[in-house]
Amino acid sequence: MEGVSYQRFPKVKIRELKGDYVKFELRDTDASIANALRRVMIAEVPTIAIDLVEIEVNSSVLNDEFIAHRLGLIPLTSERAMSMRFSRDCDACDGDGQCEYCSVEFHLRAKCISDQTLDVTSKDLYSSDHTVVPVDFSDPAGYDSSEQKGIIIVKLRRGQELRLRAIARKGIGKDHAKWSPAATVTFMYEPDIHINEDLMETLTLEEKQSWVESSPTKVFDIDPVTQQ
Amino acid sequence: MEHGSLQDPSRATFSFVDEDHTLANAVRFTLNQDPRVSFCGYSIPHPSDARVNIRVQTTGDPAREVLKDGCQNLMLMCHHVRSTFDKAVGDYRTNTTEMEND
Repeated sequence: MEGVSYQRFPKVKIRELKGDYVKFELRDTDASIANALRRVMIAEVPTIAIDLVEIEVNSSVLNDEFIAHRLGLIPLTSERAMSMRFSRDCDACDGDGQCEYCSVEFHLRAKCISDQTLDVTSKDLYSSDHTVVPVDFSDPAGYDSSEQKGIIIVKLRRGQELRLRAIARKGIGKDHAKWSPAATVTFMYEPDIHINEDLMETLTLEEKQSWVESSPTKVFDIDPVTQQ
Repeated sequence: MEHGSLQDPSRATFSFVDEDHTLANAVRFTLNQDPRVSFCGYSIPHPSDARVNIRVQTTGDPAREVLKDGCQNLMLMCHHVRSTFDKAVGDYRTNTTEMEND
């Protein structure tokens, strides 16, 4: 096939890798491929998020749809997303899209009894499947226990109650941003800087220092030993 | 959907439904790498409509075959990127754990 000889296969090199953050280099390819990768990461990687909320009791200051909207935006651990089916494609359930193959059920019960304000957080959401739970953002070192309470959904005063049942389904970012797994994805070109060493030799030390300082972000440095 | 002429299979416009720049720009890039292609471009008639028109003109080969080969090349490239990425992550992890153990 004639096209094969012109086919370029890109190379990947990882710069940094943390639990929630990756920085890597992509070489020997075009911006269109990098952009396609970026667009797919934002919009077409499937995740699980709460999609249907049945509220039994709500006497909080926020109205029902407000709370339902906030619940939808809570990130859930979605390793199971690849093996789950989309609710609309599921043939195992009786048409209401709530069987175990295509959905995960959550419930939340909170009532404020004390005089102190009760924070209803994502940690109060109980899942029917222990692999799909609200993401835990707490610091593993555990400095300050007050910062590890999870995402606050609503605050309750004495006597206010919230009881609801929520169904989480698989979806993609294109349908609604709550299903987008990525916070931000960016790419940029890496500039290739070549310094003409012969010309550098002709500059005096003061001229070299002013040249180093002239760049708005500190890119160059003078080696004190060799003064290059 | 292909809009072409019956007499001249080497030039045609293909209409892709439910697609956008994500696929179209990548396919355009792989088609341009193919030496059989003399012209390749894509347009989106209206942003609210999820439809993409890809125009391919070749040096004689049927445009449909060239487009199929371009899509195959794109798939190969994506598989390659995936395996390279997995390998790079594995290497990075072993390298960083070695550095920590030193």
